[in-house]
Amino acid sequence: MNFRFTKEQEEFRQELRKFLVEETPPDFAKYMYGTMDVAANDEVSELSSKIAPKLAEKGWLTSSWPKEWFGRGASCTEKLIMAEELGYCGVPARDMYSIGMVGPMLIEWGTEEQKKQHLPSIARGEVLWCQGFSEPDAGSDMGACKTTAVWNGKEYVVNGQKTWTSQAHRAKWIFFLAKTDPEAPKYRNLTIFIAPLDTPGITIKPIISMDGTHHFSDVFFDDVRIPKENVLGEVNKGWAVAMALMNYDRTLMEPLGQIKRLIEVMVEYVNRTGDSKNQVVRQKLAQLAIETEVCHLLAYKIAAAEDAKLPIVNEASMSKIMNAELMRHATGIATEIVGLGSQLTEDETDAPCLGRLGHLHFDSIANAFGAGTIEIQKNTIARFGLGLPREPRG
Amino acid sequence: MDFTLTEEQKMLKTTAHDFLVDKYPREVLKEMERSEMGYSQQMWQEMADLGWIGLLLPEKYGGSEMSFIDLGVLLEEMGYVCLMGPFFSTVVLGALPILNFGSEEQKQEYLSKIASGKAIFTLALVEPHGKYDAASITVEAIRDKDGYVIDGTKSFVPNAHVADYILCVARTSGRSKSEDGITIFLVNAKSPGISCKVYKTHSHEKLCKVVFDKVKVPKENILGQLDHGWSVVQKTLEWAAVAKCCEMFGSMQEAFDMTVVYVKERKQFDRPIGSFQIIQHYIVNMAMDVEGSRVITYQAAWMLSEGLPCTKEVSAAKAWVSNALSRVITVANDCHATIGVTEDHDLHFHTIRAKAAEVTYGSADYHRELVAQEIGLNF
Repeated sequence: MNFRFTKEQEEFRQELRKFLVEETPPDFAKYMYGTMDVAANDEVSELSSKIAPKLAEKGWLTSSWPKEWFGRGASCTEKLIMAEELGYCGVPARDMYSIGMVGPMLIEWGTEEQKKQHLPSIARGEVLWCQGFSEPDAGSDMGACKTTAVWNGKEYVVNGQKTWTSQAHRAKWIFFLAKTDPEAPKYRNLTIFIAPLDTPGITIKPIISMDGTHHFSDVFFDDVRIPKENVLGEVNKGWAVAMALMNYDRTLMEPLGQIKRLIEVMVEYVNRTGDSKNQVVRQKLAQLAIETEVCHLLAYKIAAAEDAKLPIVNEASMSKIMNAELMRHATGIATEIVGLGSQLTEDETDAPCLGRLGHLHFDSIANAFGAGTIEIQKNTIARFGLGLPREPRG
Repeated sequence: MDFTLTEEQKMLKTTAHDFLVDKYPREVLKEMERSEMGYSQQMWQEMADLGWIGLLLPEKYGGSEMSFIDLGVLLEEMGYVCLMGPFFSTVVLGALPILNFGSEEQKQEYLSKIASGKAIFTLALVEPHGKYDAASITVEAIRDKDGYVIDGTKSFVPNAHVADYILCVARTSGRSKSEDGITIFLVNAKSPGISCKVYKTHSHEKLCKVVFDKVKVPKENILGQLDHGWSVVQKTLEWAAVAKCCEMFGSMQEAFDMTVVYVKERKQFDRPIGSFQIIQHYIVNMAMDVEGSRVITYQAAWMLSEGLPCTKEVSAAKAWVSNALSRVITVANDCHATIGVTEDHDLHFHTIRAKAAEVTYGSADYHRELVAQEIGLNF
């Protein structure tokens, strides 16, 4: 048993942290920006897009990719350290979709042409992607996809609608699920496609969130023509790829880093205001620190197991659930302690904690739903992890 | 990072599990609960022969020089079967402080006896108010010509009625309520002036009220330094809190395991109750509490075994595990419903012990306050 990081891992963490601090304005970390802010905030989007290529130059951006493809096969632990530090320093420069999903997906299932066409730009941190999985009638029931892709002898013609598409308005490319076989049973009729978002027939319509920001969009496909070269993996075998994707890079490690920063911000705040003398405040912040410690250990346990090629059964889903709940809990406590001041938005110079607390709290609500709601995760653990009997249908 | 047990630790765990399941079935547990001593001397000797009691001690005292993690593995298995008896108090509250803070003479005197099962130890710290802070220490030890005279009442002392030696925490000087001026004395339990009453407790744990009525103790029996005993107490409480977490984690696991079995078997409305989504979610919540307890407890145990400063990690573990155990027991009872609260059903063994464990060596609130200090919250 060993709860220490290696010397190399510690050095990497410190080096990355120093780099991120140097590349950002003073005290930037106190804004606690995360991936959701890349979509919602123009300044954050611009800063991330400047820093991503620099991370690539340092050899960090895609270090966990294989050596043949712009990586060095870095460990899962190192990947988590990077995600945590980016969250802790508030620099969401490692795009979850392109680096975390499309890259690995192409490496595993892509054609040589697809790899050559896309991996270099992704690896240089030059391009954002987005994911078209959810539909109005296909959320948790992702297999109920209605978007169709019909082969007309020459190309696929896609019609349908994807919704809750994060950062679609910032992305250049989309990967999405479409039904390619109307006769085949559910789950065996889906194919993953990739497409540039400026393809004729694709329309992006903003969905404005409750705090007035633009994070999600509807993406409409009206007779969009997709060449067969843009099928990812095998036709009608898209479901397995989609399921594999649910396990990539979605441990919510970045929010864990954000929460570590939030706790520091709160300690500083309550020490300054004198609220740190209040027993209830002390108990609540201590509890957050404790929950964060548990989530931290569980996440790194998963990384250690993956690196040692040990089986992981339930821990990944548990980690997602616990991190999501921690983020809600932590931001809820922070806004509660700060009180009315947390109502002031980022535009107000009087706002405590740079006006970020209310926004983080809203983000924490949405964050819990991505890559499978908590309820679905629990169903999965119960059925497949703990062997509990299936609930009768209908 | 590596979260796995070594092969030796896995073997220790299996051996311990098999031994305890064989020697400590529920009939034996019930017998021990009703008995005056609370443990069987024969089983105690068997544990000594297995090397368990001297697990942490150097070979020259007859020990096996194993680590706090190894102790944790044993305690987990003991928690699984709800083992009663003086193992915890002898090893954690007696052997560890003597090993780490005792003089050579004291180590020679006591540690071999401990390893061979010939001496039972306990710690008299808490007073009738039941708190773990220095301010609560009022028992006094006054200097006389050969040593000290201890006077006052200690409470909730585990196994004092069968102990050979009691580590008694008393105030020797300084202002009352202060951390300075506290001294630990190694007191022979047969000393004139000591009287012991075993409380009836809900968990059946043998907790005693120990009255020290002008008990004489030679000055050689001071453990550590005169007036500077509180830091030894704090360290002992760290060992004790994490050791308790290991026991609680074991208990939590049996409660969880038996609940999973039950919901698969128990049918209502023509189907196993484990097929209802809400029950499934309850069980998953339990599984997360067990997993969280595993990682937070093992981190603290590892840091203690490495001799690293770990006040924050120890308190994080005890706070988390205290609350997690409470949740697990609640949900286990929800899933079993009324059958689980009966004496005949095994779940109750864990339920009656859970609340005691939550508050022993510091409740969740107590430990959260320590964490609050560690994360830099000013007073």
